[in-house]
Amino acid sequence: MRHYDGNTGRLARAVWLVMAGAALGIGPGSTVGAATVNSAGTSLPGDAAPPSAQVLTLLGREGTYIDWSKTVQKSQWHPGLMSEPLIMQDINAEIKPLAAERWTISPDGRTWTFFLRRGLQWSDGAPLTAEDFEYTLKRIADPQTGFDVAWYFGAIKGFTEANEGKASVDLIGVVTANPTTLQITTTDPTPYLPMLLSDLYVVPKHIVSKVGDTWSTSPATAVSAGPFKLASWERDRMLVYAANPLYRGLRKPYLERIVYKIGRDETLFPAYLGGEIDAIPWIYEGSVSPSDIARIQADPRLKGESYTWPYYQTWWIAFGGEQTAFKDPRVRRAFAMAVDRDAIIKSVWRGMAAPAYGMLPPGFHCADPARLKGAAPFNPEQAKRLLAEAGYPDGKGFPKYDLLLRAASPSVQTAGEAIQAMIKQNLGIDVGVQNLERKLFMDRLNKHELPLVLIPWEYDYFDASNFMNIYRTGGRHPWSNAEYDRLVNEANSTMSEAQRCATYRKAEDVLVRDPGAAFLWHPTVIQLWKPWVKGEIQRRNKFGIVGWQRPSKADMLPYIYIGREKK
Amino acid sequence: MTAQAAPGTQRLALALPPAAAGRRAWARRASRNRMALAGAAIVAILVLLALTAPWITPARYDRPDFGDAWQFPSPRHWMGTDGVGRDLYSRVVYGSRVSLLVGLTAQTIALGVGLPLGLSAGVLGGRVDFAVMRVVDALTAFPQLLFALLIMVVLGSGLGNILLAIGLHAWIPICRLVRAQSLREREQEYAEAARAQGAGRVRIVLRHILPNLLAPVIVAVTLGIPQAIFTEAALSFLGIGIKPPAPSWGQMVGEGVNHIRFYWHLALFPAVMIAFTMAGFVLLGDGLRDVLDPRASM
Repeated sequence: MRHYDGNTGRLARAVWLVMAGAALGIGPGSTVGAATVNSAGTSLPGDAAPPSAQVLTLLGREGTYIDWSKTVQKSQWHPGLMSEPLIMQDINAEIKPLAAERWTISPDGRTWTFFLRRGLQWSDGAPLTAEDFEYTLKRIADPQTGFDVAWYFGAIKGFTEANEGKASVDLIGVVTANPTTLQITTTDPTPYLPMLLSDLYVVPKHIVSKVGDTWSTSPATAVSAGPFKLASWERDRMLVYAANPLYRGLRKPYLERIVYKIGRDETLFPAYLGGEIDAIPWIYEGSVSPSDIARIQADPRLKGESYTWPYYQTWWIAFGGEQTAFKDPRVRRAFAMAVDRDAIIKSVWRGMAAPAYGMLPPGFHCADPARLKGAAPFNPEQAKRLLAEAGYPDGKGFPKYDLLLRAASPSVQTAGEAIQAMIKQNLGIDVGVQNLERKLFMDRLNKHELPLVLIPWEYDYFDASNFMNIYRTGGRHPWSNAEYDRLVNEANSTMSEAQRCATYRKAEDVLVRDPGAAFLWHPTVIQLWKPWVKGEIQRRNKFGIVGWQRPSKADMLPYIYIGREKK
Repeated sequence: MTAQAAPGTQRLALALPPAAAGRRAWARRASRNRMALAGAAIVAILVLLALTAPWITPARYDRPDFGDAWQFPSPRHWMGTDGVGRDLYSRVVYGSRVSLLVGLTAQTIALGVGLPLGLSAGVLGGRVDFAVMRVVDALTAFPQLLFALLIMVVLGSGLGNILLAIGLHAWIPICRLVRAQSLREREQEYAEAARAQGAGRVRIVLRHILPNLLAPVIVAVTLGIPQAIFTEAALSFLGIGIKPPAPSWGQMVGEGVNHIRFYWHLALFPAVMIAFTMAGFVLLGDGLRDVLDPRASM
């Protein structure tokens, strides 16, 4: 209110925009006289602040690119702002058409034809075509690109061979039939292909083939097919996204700008308390620490601005391969039974987690955790016995290993210390705890060089394959089990839902009982947003959750607006 | 003490170095220097804590009690507990062992390396002096913390490596001091007199020069202790020093600052201990200098 003069200017501009919008006939709201239309042509809801105030400020880590088909680990978050995947996931984790208007599957379940919505374009006016999608997939497959989770798209025909350099990328199963028709062929029937494609962030062929990998780092070349475009990027300081007026897709944004400040995790909570940012939507464990949670629980106002919900993420201890003492399944089992999940959840996580008995989180696709509760329970006596049988009575003669953490937050480090204490107390084994830088960790993990790690996996799409695939032979961990591989592959290409789930569960049984890992906990997300942050995040989804889903991918940002309450 | 240790100088009253002159002034200056006494008291308390740790703490420093995590200070846990329910008071008390061990061992290494090198450089001169001083110059180019960081990155964390990382740099000031002093002492009249009496080089160094070096070296070593303790605390704070569950104050502060907005006790108590320890040794060292080596304090 204090800035009334400034606002009248903006208000005049808004009114002008409404009238201009009405004259040009853009935006569904333009026909309604009272509605305000923003620069992207979206009519704002009745309780929304004027377009000039539609600015959401966030804070987070900084990546090298805004390009998830170049790298995931080093990418700036929110790829969905500037890209338009074929398919999207809604708040119920169900797939919905996005760039693809509709699609068909061949009778053998291997060839998918996607028909693109007409009129889609990049923010420089160039049309978004099937060729861009083909180019993007081939770029991901190309070993030269160095994409860090290329196996993710391994279901596509010829993809793995191309990525390993054994065949040309031109041979992979993706074909542009015409500018609006894309054909994708998989090796086996792959019922979850649409889910995979919701994470295919299309890049502009006409730019990337000219500029190269740095295209996404400057507003001059970072053309967008999504609801926002890059307005500025000051390294180490902030990124600003502005609504993309040339966006012709389904996700017309309410917000005019998204200001993304760069900062360390520890600064998130103070920044929120100080009113510098509007929300802490991140789901990773460092964003709100246990002491912040204690503070939130003690403060009714903060409590009212916090949203907690069980997250589809699983933490476990993964073991080294044949060269380590963990080649003996009894040793792995001893470790799994020596860790008291409930104690860690109660102390380190202050109750903000659920115990994990298997790979699939409760409520997730095909999950049935209750049946696995007794598979590897906390049982120090039995753990000790197993270790003795394996030739290490009371831990004697056991090699010295460090429990390695990936760029861990303080809480995860504390969890690591708790595990360390339990291994010492229950098995008599001294393990160190060591935190490694993210890239170093991932490089060594992918080469199967790490003997003992504490690591999470979180869902990308609501399908059991998303979790189960990573434990197949040649995946992220050295553990290898032919029966597991067979079951997961079978389930992956089964078209019947009930049969798929039954097979995934059999595979999970193998993984937990062998065991391939010591499953520990599923975190509970805690998010904060100010009362004026509104939109789809306020809606309860079919799982009964009110939450900001997939914040790192920016799925919900187009549907968020700033309410009038913001001063 | 200096006079007794250097019987060769007793006969030459004229050449008697000032440090040995006022035996009675020693006590007078010490009592005058209340700060030094306070420093000595703090150090004495620390040594006492370190020695009696098992008997004055309710739990072992590495014993977690998961049901008792995140407790604020209370009669049950004087300094509260951390995220896995370890008693902070126990960890802080045991932490004095780590700090004293690091301070004393690093300075022992420093003395063991710096004294002989400095003496040979100063007394032998020539090529030996040149070689030693070039090594000293090269190492001086690195600040101590940076040097220690480098060593830790190469060798990995662990107490042994910390001692090495600190000791490998801490000998430099001692080496320089010893060299400079022995250069001076060897030209003094008493040394000349000893030479005239037919004493060999080794005898001159051991019986005449070395005893006269002791006072400044003791001061330098004492003042090096807090520096070593602080370097360990800094390394552990940065997460590359002593690993949990070993009770390093620096590491406790490093973890505690993450929770300082709510669980203030986690960082406060170990930080206070670091401050006290530093103050204690620095005051003691300054006091010792006033007492043993009045020239340096002028």
